[in-house]
Amino acid sequence: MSWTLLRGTLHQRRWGLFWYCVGLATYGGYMAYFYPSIAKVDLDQFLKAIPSELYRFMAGSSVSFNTFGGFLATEYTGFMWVLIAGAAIIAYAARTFGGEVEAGTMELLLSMPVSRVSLAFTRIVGLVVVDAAVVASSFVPIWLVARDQRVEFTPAHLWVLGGVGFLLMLLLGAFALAVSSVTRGSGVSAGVTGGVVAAMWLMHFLRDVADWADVFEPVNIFKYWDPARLVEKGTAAPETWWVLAVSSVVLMAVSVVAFSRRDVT
Amino acid sequence: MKGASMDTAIDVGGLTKYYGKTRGIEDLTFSVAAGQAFGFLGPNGAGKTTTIRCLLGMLKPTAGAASLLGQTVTLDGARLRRRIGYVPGEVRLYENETGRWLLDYVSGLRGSAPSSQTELLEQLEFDPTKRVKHLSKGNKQKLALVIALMHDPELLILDEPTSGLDPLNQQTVFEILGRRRAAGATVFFSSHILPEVEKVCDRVGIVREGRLVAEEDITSLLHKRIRRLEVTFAEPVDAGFLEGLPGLSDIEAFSTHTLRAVVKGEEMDGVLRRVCERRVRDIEIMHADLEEVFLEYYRGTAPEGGEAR
Repeated sequence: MSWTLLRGTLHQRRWGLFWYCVGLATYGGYMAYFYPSIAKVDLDQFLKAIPSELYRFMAGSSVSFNTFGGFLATEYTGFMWVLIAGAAIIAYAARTFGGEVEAGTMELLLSMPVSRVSLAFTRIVGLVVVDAAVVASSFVPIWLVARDQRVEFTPAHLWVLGGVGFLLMLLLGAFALAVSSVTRGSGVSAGVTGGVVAAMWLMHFLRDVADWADVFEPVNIFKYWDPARLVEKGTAAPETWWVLAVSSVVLMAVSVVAFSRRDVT
Repeated sequence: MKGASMDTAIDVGGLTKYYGKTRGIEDLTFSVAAGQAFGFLGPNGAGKTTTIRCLLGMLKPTAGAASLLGQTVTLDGARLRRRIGYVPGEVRLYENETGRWLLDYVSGLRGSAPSSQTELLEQLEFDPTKRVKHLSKGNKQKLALVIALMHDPELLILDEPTSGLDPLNQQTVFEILGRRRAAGATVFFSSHILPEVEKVCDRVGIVREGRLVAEEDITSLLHKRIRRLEVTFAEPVDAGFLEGLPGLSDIEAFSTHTLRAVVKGEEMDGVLRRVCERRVRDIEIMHADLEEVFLEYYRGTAPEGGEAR
């Protein structure tokens, strides 16, 4: 791994990452701050008005909008967070190989005495750092504000939500990285990854209304993302951890091998 | 200079690159001796950049191989690249960073001191404090040159290195390259501008449609140069006076006393002997630049059809 390359990579993305993290921290803190007020309101009537499929789509397994996990999943972590954080991670990963090839800056890097494997590995470490920053700025403010508001959200809850969130984003990033390692341009990688993620999300939603959608469930990563359950129970099934982690590692390895063999034009 | 001790700095054998079915280069074979300046000439799209990218391990050849400084080129030849300085044909750098940041970044990646950086910045009169996006094309080219040369590489691979530079800066670059050569560096100079190759190189390879169509010493190539002759005689003369001489063409009577003609190759001696049969008032011999020699080559050695990149 090249420390200079890692520092350079993060330096070039510093302001974008900084403002993204500020936005996520503000959003998460805002949610935790307003939860106590909303929890006092009886929202049963509102919940009954929402189709159960749509509610499950937004809130996962939670059946109560009035619990912190249910509220957070419905309003933020169930959908919006995946969208916002996923966009940041996919943008980083998509630019990593294909984006730099298109921009022409990969030519500069490949004329330097840095091996392709080292370059790819360094960029993966960069992805892990960006992922950690995005996830920490998303959930640590929630924990801090929740503690201030005397809402039950312990460090154990934070660890489980943050850990699974980190692995989910890592998997999205690893997929985008793998596509980026064989394509030219950020747009292709981001588009393909975004399309696959959207399709999985849609299939995950449709599984409750159409039997045929169940076919895709075994390979759908969103069955592992149930933030309401993570917050309310403070645990995640063992396969959630290892499936997300192993899938990420495999895709990262694929991207290293593919990048080390590709033509750069 | 770190000293290139190998006899051959660049050795290319049967190098071929296809992009799918499109031919980039085909069966290129040539070598460049250590310390030599090799001009790699060809029009845009001839395959010069493809060749350079194969040499630098950015492209995997379809067939053939290349070695630089005694090491076989691979896609992952990191150690080899430490000894090479490269200026790309189209300079594209991190637009939001300053020149200073880039110079420090590149030095860090190389892990070696940029021993000539200050000297190069002064010679090229480049201000590294501005962001790349605020630099003109010429200044970006200067920055690329500093990046390529500041670690005193043994081998310089330059793809149209004077592109975007004004004549004064071009001259500065030629002087810098001359000093690097004197210190033992090998120069691979890709260009489609023949006069600048004439200033820098001592051997030339001409590539067209992906194939090497000629390879010669620059002196040998210059012997094939085309010269324009204009003779003003002291008495009226007819164009037929010069007709029938070998190597002479395009003879025309510019006025009653002046004849113009084109002399090709080594035939000047015979022409002058004929001219001296009359009283000469003035004579002017204009050496055509390599451009015309180059075009002459193309007419004579056009490879068969096929797409060039």
